[in-house]
Amino acid sequence: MKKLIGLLLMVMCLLMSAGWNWLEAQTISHYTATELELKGATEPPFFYRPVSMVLDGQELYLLESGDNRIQVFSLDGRWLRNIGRKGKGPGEFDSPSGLDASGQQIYVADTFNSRIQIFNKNSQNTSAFKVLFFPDNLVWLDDEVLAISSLVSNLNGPEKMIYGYKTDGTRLWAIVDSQASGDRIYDTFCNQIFLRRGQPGIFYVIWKANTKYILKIDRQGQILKKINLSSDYPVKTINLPGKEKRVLEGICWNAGYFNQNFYLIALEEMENKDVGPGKKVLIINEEGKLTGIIDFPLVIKKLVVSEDLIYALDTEDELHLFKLNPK
Amino acid sequence: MKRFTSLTLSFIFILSIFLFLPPASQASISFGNCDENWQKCRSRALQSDDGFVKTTLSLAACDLDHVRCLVFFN
Repeated sequence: MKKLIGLLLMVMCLLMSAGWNWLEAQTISHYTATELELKGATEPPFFYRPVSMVLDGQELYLLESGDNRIQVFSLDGRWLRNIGRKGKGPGEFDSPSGLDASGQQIYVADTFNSRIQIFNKNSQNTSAFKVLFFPDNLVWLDDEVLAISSLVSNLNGPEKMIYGYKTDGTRLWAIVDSQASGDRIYDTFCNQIFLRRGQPGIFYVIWKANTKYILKIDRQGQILKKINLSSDYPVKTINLPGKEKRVLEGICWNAGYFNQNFYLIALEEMENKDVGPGKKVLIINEEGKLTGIIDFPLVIKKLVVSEDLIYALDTEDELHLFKLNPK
Repeated sequence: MKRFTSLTLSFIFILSIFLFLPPASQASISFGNCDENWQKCRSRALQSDDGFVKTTLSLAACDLDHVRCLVFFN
């Protein structure tokens, strides 16, 4: 009798676990991304080392590190104007890597010039301020505060990775310590982060590898929430070359944010056996749960999302527009 | 004797590569700017959007350049 009860309990447990897994699987939505024509462009716009892409109102901004400029497009892909050129003077860039726009102002992390430059909507350089590091990503939090990530060097041990600055150049706070294990290359990958703007005054920090959570931070530099990625998140194991065995847990290639959802470009094995961006984008909600998967017809390496439209760059640095369709 | 000769030749070959090949970074190496040039080299490696393995090799080249710069310019 006892055996029978035990068996029954086991069967019940198995059924419940299977049911739970089935329910979990049902809550993940599947989408396909269908390419739309960029009607304003005669041919797909392409870029020289594009590093950042931002949608602001009716304009799309694309920062090219290789050409030291921002190209501005209408939402249908029509080229409107360029901002900036190579140099050290006002309105000039040297390998910029971060961009954000607030509706009124455009902010640029002018990396090799170690400064932040601010432009108005008429492309006029209105101000700039120096920082004591190579600025990498940046997000605008409100009219006065920017969050800026640094290109971590770890030359003198762990460093702060994210800084809060007033737009007049006053430093407000410094948060999040870098990993400094002594292996410079490994640490470089572990310290690669993306800053993404959320609700007014809020931003998120997403790691490219090893850190399986997203930080939600406010304009005072206070960490509001640590969003753990759910256990079903597909982490990609990456074996780095070298004498010593170095294994990374790849999280994503790049990331977008829209309407309380993160859009993380999943990592895949490339044709040359390397690991890089893939054709799938994973949708993660504010609880860290995988809620959707988008299949793209081509490999994408950067994206911005607006409702059911996604602007993305492919591996040839060409701009594409996609529409999301439920499968 | 043969082994010794081949080892010496290998050593000279590696040393000559280390000393005379042009820097892997696009930034020109100038006295006292080793750390800055190393940072620029790393930034370019990361901006290139290559896969993890290729980026590892680029970063290793930056590190090699950095060591060479520190040895010869400081």
